[in-house]
Amino acid sequence: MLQGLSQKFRGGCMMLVREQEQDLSFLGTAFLVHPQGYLLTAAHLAHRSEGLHVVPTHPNDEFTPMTIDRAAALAVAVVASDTAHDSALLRIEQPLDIAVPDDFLGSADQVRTGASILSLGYAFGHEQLHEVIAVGGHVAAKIRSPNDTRLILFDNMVQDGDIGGPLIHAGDGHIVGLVSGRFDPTEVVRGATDWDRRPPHDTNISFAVAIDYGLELMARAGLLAGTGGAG
Amino acid sequence: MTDKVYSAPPEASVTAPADPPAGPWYRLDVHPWVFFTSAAIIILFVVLTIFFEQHADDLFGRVQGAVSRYAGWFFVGTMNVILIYVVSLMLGRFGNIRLGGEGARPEFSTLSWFAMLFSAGMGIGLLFYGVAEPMFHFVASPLAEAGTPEAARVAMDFTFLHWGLHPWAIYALVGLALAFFAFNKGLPLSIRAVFHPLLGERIYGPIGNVIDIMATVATMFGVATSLGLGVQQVNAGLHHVFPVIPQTAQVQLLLITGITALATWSVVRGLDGGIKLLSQVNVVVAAALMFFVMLLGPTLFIMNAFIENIGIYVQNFAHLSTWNETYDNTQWQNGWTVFYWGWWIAWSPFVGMFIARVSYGRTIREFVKGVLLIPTLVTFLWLTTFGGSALYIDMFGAGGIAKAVQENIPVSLFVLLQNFPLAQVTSLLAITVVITFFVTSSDSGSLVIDIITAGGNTEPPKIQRIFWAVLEGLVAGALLLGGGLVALQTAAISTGLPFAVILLGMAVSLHRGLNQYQTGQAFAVTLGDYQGPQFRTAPTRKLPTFGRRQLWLRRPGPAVRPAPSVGGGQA
Repeated sequence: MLQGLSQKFRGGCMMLVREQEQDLSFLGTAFLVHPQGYLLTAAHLAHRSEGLHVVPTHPNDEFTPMTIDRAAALAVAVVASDTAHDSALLRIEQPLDIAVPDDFLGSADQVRTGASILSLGYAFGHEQLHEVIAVGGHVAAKIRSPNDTRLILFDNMVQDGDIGGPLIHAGDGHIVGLVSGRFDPTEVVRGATDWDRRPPHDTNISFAVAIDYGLELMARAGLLAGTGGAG
Repeated sequence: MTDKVYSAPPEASVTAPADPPAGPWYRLDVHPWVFFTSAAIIILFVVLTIFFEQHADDLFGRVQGAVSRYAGWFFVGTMNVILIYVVSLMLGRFGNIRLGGEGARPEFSTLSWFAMLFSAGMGIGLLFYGVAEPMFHFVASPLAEAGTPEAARVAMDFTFLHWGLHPWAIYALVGLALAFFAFNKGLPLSIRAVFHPLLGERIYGPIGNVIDIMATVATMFGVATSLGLGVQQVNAGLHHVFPVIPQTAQVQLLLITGITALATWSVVRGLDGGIKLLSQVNVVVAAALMFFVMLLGPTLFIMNAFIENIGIYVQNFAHLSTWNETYDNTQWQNGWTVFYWGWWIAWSPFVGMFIARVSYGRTIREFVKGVLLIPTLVTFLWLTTFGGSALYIDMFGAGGIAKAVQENIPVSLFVLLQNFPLAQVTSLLAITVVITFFVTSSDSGSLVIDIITAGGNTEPPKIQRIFWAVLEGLVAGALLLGGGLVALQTAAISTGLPFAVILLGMAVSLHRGLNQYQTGQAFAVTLGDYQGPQFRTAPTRKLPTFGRRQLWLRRPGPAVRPAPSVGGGQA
């Protein structure tokens, strides 16, 4: 089942990069959500919009060189950003021929603890592994962060480059979350006055924000009417 | 930004149990083409049939004869293909897809769900043919010498074939397809929606209208003619039990009025109020009748037969379900198996639609188990209880059932009951069951027509519900008085042929839809003749820092624990 999901979604994943004097510095992952070239990613990756580009992936499943020296990158603009919920909507600025599946947008309400999920992302993009890494796991918990953001915890160990990628619910084949980072319990207690023990740092739990925040951005941009049944 | 964003999943917001319709009582919500064309066709057909009864009888009879003779193999093949497909859905990778999306929760408890499925799906025929059909096959068997134990086995086997997995597989397919496209893909709850993967947006055009009008007309004639014909049977039964009640058109009209009134009340009260309640009453009374017969009748024989019949059914399954009397060169099958297949298929839009409406929140696996396996088993128990008792009386008891069956099918049930103690009580129970089965078929039929002609609105306005429920009674009454019940029923069954083709298309369409829903289609970006600049890639020397994300900033005000759930709860 994860195989089919990987086939479905890997073509929608792109590297998010910033162009600086002909060099591309890798930032993270973004994924297509609309045939007119809209993508979602994590807002903190796109907090500065100058020089933002995306690099499409090659969709087939062959053995490919792990590193590409030169890449064609497409300039993107930040359409909307919701920093409180770490979601941003980008648009590729030039027209492209893009096909998206009829159904791929879900809701975080549609995934339950223990469900199988797949996360996709350029896990080691910082280290120049220019390939989408698919990792399967399970939903570990559904929590609300201190600022009342709905988060899905899952037991994949996401890497820095995975951030901004899609979290996919295996049962439905729909995106339910937007990968935001490794879950670090100290984040939660930092600032509390009665805390002086350092907890172990490297949990194998990661977190994604509910895709619904991204959908809200899309809805405000008027994108949800024509994407199959998703709107 | 507030928390209320997308509190319901986008799919579910279309379908979640709708709010009561707002506005004044006379507000209509109709799909103009489907509503008015269907109503016109129905009235036109009824008038023509009444005026030209003889011709209509002839014509529809001939069409039906030709359909069963030349397309019998097609029906037999289609039924099997669909059964195999539905079983594969239960076992295969789509089994975990939940109708309405993962967050959806069933509207009805499993027991009431099942009661409604059963009441809509089999209904009245089961009551009369439960006794009559095994007896027919017993005295005139195509595969065994009449009157022998072998004939009894074959008789039960054929009856199981006709009432078993195949019809429920048809219902399951239609119900599943409708539910999936309505609840998971946000299309309107109507037959046309199922063809979205094949026809795309054209389903909203003329093709879609034709499909929905066909479904509406077939449902109306199916339900109305059953009502008309069934009422005659009820009258015969009543007359048999209470000889003071005459067998006249007046009594039958009174019965139609009563049943229609009850059904109208039930449809107006809606699924939760009326239909669910009546279905539960119906199933409870039917179960009481069955257990009565089981206990008062030849209990041991029934228990033995139940197990053995299932064994025979399984043993001969491949043989009987593909049997086409090719080498026997007989015409037996046209009157039985093919007739049944046409009947089930003609009823499938109606029953399937109803099943879809009540199945929100079930997974596909649950759905197929609930619609295919459980009703089949219960039907088998019912058929064994009534058919087996009849066989027992004819083979080892007082006899006389076979003769009663051939004289008058509805009376045979009451003749059977007279062979057991407490005949007055069981006969009264039987009449109650007959009537509640009627009302539940009638109200679910009206609801289905309501939904289709309202363009897929699952909670159509009350005035429309009243209109269709009353029209159903009027059609039945008019045909009863003017003649033409049999003619129109024959016509309805003949629509099984085009619907069989539609069903196969439905299976293809559903499969494509499920596949696209879960995996299947992929993202593809074609750069084409992109001639943009290429850039050097470089490893990241120093990981960017983004500061502390706002996710972890506490909102002003005290944290409440447990936090009140806003929006993130049950869909």
